[in-house]
Amino acid sequence: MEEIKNIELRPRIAEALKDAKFDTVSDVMHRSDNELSKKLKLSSKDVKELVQCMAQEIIKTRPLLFPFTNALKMLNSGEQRMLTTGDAIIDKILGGGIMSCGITEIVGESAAGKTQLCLQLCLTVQLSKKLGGLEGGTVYVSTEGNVQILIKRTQQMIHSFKQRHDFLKDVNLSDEIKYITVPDLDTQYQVLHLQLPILLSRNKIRLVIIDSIAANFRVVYSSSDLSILRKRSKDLCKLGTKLKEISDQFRLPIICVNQVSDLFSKYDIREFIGNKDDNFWEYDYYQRQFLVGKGSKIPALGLLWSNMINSRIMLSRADRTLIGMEDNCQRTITLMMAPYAPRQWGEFYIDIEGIHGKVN
Amino acid sequence: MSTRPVSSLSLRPSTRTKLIKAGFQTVKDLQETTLIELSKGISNTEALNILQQIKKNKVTSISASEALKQERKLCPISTSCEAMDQMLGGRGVPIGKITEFCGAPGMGKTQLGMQLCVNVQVPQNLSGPEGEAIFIDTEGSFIAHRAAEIAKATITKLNENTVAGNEFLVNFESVMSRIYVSKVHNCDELIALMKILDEFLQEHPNVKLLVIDSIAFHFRQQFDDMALRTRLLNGLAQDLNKFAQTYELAVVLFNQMTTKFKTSRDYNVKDQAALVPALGESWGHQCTNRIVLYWRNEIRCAQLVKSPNLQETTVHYQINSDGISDYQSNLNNNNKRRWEEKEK
Repeated sequence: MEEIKNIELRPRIAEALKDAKFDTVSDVMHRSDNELSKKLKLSSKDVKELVQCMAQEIIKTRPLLFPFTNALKMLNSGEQRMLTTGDAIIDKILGGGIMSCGITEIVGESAAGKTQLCLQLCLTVQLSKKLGGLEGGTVYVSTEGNVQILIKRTQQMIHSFKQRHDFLKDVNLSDEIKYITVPDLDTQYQVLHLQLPILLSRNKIRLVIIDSIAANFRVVYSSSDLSILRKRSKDLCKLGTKLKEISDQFRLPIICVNQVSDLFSKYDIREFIGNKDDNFWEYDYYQRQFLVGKGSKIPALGLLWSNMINSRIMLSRADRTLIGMEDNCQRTITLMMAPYAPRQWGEFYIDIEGIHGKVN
Repeated sequence: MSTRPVSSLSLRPSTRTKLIKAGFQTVKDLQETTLIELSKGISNTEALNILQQIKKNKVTSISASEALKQERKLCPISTSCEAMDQMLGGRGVPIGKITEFCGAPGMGKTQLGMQLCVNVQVPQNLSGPEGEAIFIDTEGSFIAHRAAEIAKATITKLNENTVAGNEFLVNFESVMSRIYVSKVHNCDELIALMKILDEFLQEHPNVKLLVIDSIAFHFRQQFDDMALRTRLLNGLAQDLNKFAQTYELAVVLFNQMTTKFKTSRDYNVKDQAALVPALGESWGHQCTNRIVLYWRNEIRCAQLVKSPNLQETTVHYQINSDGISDYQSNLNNNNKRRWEEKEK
């Protein structure tokens, strides 16, 4: 937060602030006018001037905040665009692709294809804007420690990706993907809050993927103790806010892969339809709309995290029936919620090239 | 009035000189002083005389019938869902008041916000408020091309209903350019914005709607000191109330939902978590009307839970590519759950 000593103020106001040990702009903004005039021993006129001055100081450094832009300018600037997934059918289901701002969550059970979708986006993001890319690289933050496997799989995908896009023949696509492993929550904090902004300001990066957001949180805060849960909420909130800030500052989408957790309910969650009393206010009732796959599973990290994200994409698959070597299980991709498109779903399959939508 | 020089007041010459010597130059300087402060230099009666002169006509009161007349003049903003308009008093979101919509993610809060931003621009000859809108985006959910979609659909709908030759004159570009958007990244930014909004509203007297989506985002968990949070929120509410009344605009706030554990006294009943609006009890007092949005049997519902003058009711609404509209059972497909569709 801005420090007061760097701001030009009337000498008597600056002196009063110094005496009262007010160091940052927040110290002033968090107090009412009355309190300020009492603490700083300033007249109400001076206090008004001080508050205005501080407000101006905050606004001066935040171009997104003020002066207001308007919706037409936003529409024409093309800053809000869609990042293609590389497959026309899946793009259509997702309302055009991945929104190029804000947080998009990809949730699904293990082996539903979350990482496959992410890796594919690492490649499509490098395409030109005409082809639906964002013309930049990717930072891939992995919590699951499988970077070697990721690299191998990426190489496979790059090979077929280059066959499809001839002009990329001589480009080293894997150079533009930067992997970071974060084995625990402390490192995760370090990387996301401190290192990531520096990395983004030095490289031409247009996509950040965090795979997965839940893993480290679930290890550290696994107790059901309320005070620990409260701490978890607070950390999640901080993380969500920071990610949104990064997304706006560097104008890039952030993709968070999320795991699922079981929904324990007193109801049989799938049968629970119809006019049963006044249970519409209940958490369980609400969560039913986010059920993942066939079981009673919901996205991890709870309602608080759901409030943090802008859109949610769900991947799920039917139980595997191994016939030969083919991947023949039924997989579905659903756009669960998004501010730009209604809920839609479709089937997809994964092959050596990546993920593809199925024509119905 | 306020920039009028002190010398122009009808005062004794000696008092006038004393005032000017003491540094009072305009009436504005005097307005901020109290009787006791003034009477330190001059006599008590003289000080009273000064204050009576400058504070004349400052405090005004209006009768209830006048207030009613004034309120009738203010044209509410339609939500595009007739049932919801009815619930809010007949014609939509009232101007001059704070209206809060609470809802869990995916209920369509942002959609409603964008719809209101378009609807506030309906011209007066179509009995709309014909104003401009400010959209303060704390969650990064304002999507310009979605707003464009809603604006186009709304313009088409309005033109359908008008007689030929009396078409909706506002074109798409001007509708979009009258939605002012700001992105807020922390609560300090939000407070700072409120402090300078006064100036902006004076320059743009046509602004009839202020949307904050969502008020809760930056106030949810980041405060160690809950008393501080309450204080900041109260200050914010005061600012918003002031804007609503001085500039005659509708303030629409969106709030998130949070879970609250209800411990049942009956041992046979399991404890359950209920969804309640975020920001706690004291915030609940700040808005005039409060509406909670929730799902009920795959239908989107809006329930008025707090209002000084309206009855508690529940209505249905739906969202499609054209924006918000009344609930129609046969067109409800996009609200259906995934697996239900699959079974068909």
